Amino acid sequence: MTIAAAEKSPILEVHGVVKRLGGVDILKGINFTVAEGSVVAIIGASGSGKSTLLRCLNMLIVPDDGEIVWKGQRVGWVQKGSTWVRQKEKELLGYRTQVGMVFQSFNLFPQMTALENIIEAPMTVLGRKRSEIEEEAHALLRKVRLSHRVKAYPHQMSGGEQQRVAIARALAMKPKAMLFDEVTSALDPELKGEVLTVMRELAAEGMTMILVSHEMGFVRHVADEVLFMHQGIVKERGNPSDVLVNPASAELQAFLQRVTD
Amino acid sequence: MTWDFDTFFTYLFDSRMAWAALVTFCVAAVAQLLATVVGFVLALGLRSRSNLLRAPAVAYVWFFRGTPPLIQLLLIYFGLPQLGIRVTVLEAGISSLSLYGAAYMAEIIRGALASLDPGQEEAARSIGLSRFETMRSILAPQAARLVLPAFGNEFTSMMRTTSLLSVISFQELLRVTTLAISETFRPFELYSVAAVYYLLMATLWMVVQDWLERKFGVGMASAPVRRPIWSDIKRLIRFPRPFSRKITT
Ligand SMILES: Nc1ncnc2c1ncn2[C@@H]1O[C@H](COP(=O)(O)OP(=O)(O)OP(=O)(O)O)[C@@H](O)[C@H]1O
Ligand SMILES: [Mg+2]
Repeated sequence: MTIAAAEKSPILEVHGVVKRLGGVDILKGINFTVAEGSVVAIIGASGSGKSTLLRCLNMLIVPDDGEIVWKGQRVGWVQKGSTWVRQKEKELLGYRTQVGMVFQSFNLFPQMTALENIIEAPMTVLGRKRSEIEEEAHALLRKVRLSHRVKAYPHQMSGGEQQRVAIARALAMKPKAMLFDEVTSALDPELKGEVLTVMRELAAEGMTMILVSHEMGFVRHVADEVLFMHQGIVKERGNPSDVLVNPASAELQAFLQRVTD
Repeated sequence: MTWDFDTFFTYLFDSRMAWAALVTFCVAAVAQLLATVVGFVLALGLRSRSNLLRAPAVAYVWFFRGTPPLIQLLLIYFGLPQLGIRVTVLEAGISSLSLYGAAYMAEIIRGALASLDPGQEEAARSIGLSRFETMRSILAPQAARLVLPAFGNEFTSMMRTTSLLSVISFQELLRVTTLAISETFRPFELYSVAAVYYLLMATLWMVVQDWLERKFGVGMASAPVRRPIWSDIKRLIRFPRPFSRKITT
């Protein structure tokens, strides 16, 4: 997978992304590229800016500097004559539907059933008919092994089930890439596996994935590249079997020690 | 003179009183509905990051919460004609009650929106919903559930506040009661009749609110905390309970 993925052109390029929050530089110039179909894992201590980076990647927050290039197109900017102008929130929606996102705290809509959570965006955003999209939603629920939970409300489901519905909800927009932000951190150990299995299958199908995770076993097996973030920069990067086994910096060594304890 | 049951019951079932009560309820309902719509818009203003949008909303709430509703009513009914704007009693009544109620609804709705999990908005936007669609499909329904109990307080308060409209001779419950007193000279019985009607309205609303809380409580783990009001009433009058309600979540 690594070799095949590397041959393709990058689907996503991140050039010098800077984000300031509350007067502090949270991201201080992030650079990396993601080849189509590859899996990039981001690791790093709490507060190093991982979530902020993922939010920037699908424009939930807008970077202060640098650029994000999606399929060769600069995201969030349009060229008018010879000058570049920022896109409005409305114009970013199309991009956002192509990049799905899954959160640590699931964030399912509590007033909707599993099925309704999944069909909400295809119906309101894409204007598709309920009958037509419901079939796809059932297929997605089968894919995440939740066919029996179609009519369950989020509070009636376990964390692992909720998170798999959240993955199905993101997939319903047929994204070309998926962002996962510590999606198993809030789960009990025995529930992590069912979510990781779904993610492993997605990776095997060739989905481009960028994931923040502290599941080192999972990262080692699934990721094509690992980025280690430290205080808003990418401190180390490379193949997981290199970076995780022979960390160069003292920070990564210390970090790995902490998470494997 | 002693308490006279005859007068009490005659006026309790008098069509003029019943009609006045119905009018009062409808005026309160329309005013509360308008107050909620205006309050929602104001709440969006209060939440706005732009000073240009927030300042007017803040000023509005400041004025309408800080002045007596009676003065607001008099300003509209007697003040506006001075500026060449003619208003009927009904228009003045409903608009002043709505404007007054909106200031309170604005604060209630703002508070409810602020207490929602920010992850909800983030999730909605991440699957491509616009800010408007996020508000309409995700945030507003969740806020509605949170707003309901306070909304109920506002509405019952609104039903009582309608009595101010008697000052501009609007034929609402208090005004009609006062007229009846001038015919019968029986204030105790007639004010009691009015009190019963206000209580009836409040009770009707409690039943509706209970139903609404269930409807909007779908998906909330803590939804069915309140027993339905009629179960209390049934116990009070010692009805046998023919079936037990299945509480759905
Ligand atoms: N809206 C905000 N305003 C100010 N500071 C913020 C804001 N959001 C995040 N931060 C700060 O930015 C830093 C990075 O946050 P971020 O959530 O990206 O870290 P993280 O690497 O995802 O950490 P964790 O592993 O705990 O999720 C933190 O120090 C946080 O306090
Ligand atoms: Mg984080």
